[in-house]
Amino acid sequence: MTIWREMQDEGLILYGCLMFGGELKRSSFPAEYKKHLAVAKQSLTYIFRSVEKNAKGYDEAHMEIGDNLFSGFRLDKDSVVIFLSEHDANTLHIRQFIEDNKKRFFDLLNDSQPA
Amino acid sequence: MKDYKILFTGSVCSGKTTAIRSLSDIETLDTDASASDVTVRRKKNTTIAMDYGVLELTSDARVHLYGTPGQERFRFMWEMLACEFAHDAIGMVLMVDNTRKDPFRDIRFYAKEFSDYLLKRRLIIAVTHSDVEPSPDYQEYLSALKNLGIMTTVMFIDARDPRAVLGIVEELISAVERNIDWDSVCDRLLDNNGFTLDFYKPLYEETLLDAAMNKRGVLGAMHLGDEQEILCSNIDDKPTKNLMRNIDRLTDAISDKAGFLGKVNNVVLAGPDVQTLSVFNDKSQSLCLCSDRDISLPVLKQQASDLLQWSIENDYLA
Ligand SMILES: Nc1nc2c(ncn2[C@@H]2O[C@H](COP(=O)(O)OP(=O)(O)O)[C@@H](O)[C@H]2O)c(=O)[nH]1
Repeated sequence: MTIWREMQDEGLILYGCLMFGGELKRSSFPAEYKKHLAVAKQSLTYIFRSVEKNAKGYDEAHMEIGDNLFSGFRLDKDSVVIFLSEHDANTLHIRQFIEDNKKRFFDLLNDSQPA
Repeated sequence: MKDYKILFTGSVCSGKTTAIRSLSDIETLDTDASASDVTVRRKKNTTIAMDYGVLELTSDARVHLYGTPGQERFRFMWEMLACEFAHDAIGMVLMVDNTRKDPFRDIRFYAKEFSDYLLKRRLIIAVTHSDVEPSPDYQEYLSALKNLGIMTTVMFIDARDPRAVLGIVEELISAVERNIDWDSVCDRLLDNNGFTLDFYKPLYEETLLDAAMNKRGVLGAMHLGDEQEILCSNIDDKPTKNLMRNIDRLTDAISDKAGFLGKVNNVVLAGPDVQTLSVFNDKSQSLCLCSDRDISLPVLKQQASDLLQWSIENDYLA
C-alpha cells in the first residue's frame, strides 16, 4: 500500500505530493485535482520561501481555503511534502504521522520508480 | 500620619496597574513605557518600572500602593522595591491572571521569588480575569495552595472594580488599624472614579489588541486592513510583521486567482520550538496572531473568529 493510500485510509488526508528543490517528484493527486495541486504547490512554495527570508524554526504551514486544507511539511532543506485534506483535518495527527514515517518519505523521493 | 504600604506583584497583564489606579487618590505614577526592545509584547504599554499610588484611609492614615514591573528582565526592580520602597510593607498582593496557561505556575514562581520577603508579611492572592476564564475556580486554588504549602487568602477580583480591590486593602489593614470607615472610603472611591454601579460595563474600553491578549496562549497580535496596512500591532519584530503581511497579501491573491476553491480563511505556520504564527482573513481585515505553540489549531481558529467578530461589532474602537 502506498503511503498516500495509508494516510487516506487513516482519514488524515485526501491526496499528497512530494517536492524536491521546488520540483514535483511524487504525487497522488488525481487528474481532476490538477488545479488544486497547482494552487497547493505554488502557495506553499511561496509561503516557505517567505518564511525562510523572515523567520527560523518553521517547518509546517497550513492554508485553509474554502473547505480545503493545504498543508506543507518540510522534511529537510530541499524536500517538502504537501497534502490536501478536509478543512477540519487533525493536523497534529498528520504531523505525528510524518514524524513516524519520515524515512519512508525520503525513500519515496529517492526511489526512481514512478509513484 | 500613619503610612502603610502594600506591594502588588504578578505577571504582565494581571491587573496591577489597573488595581492601583482604581484605588489611588493621586494621579498614579505609572511609568509605563513602551518596551520596544522585546520582540513580542504582552501588551502595548508594559509596565517596566513601577506603579505607585496613595489611598487616604482616614485623616491620619493612608496606604501607599506599589506595583512591581511584570517582566522578568526587570527583576532588579523587584529587589529594589522589596528592599527599599516597600521593605516595610504590611503585605504583598500576588495578582494572578486566570487566563494564563498555568496560573498555579505563576504562583509557584512569585512565591519563590519573594519567599524571603514573605517570611514576615501576609500574602494575598488576588485572581483576576475570572470573568473571562472561570477555571480554575476558588476551590481549585485552595487545594492547589494547600499542596504547595502556601497559607494565604485567595480573593477573586476584577482589578477594574475599586470595591473589589479595596476589599484586599481592608483584608490587610483592618488587622492593624481598627477605626477606618471602609464604607465611606469605598463611596469616595466610586465618586472619584465616576464608577458606574453597572459592574459589567468595562471601565476602560478594550481595544482589539487587549481583547486578543486576553485569549489563552496569545502572545502578540496585529490587525491588518484591506491593503495589508497595519491598523494596530503589539508585535515588534519586523521580520515577523513582514512575514505575516506577505502571507496576507498572498491569501488575497489566491482568493482572487483560485476562486474555484473558495476564499482563503487562514494560514498557520508552526514549528517544534517556535511560537505559532497565524493570519486570519475576514472580508476587508485580517488578524495576525503569535501564540503559544501548544494552542491547538481548532482553539486558535475559534479565538480568531471571536476576535474578528468582536472587531466588527466594535468597529469604532479599532
Ligand atoms: N476582563 C477583565 N479584565 C481585567 C481584569 N483585571 C484587569 N483587567 C484588564 O486587563 C488589562 C491589563 O491590566 P494591567 O493593569 O495593565 O496589568 P499589569 O500589567 O499587571 O499592570 C487591562 O486592560 C485591564 O483593564 C479582570 O478581572 N477582568
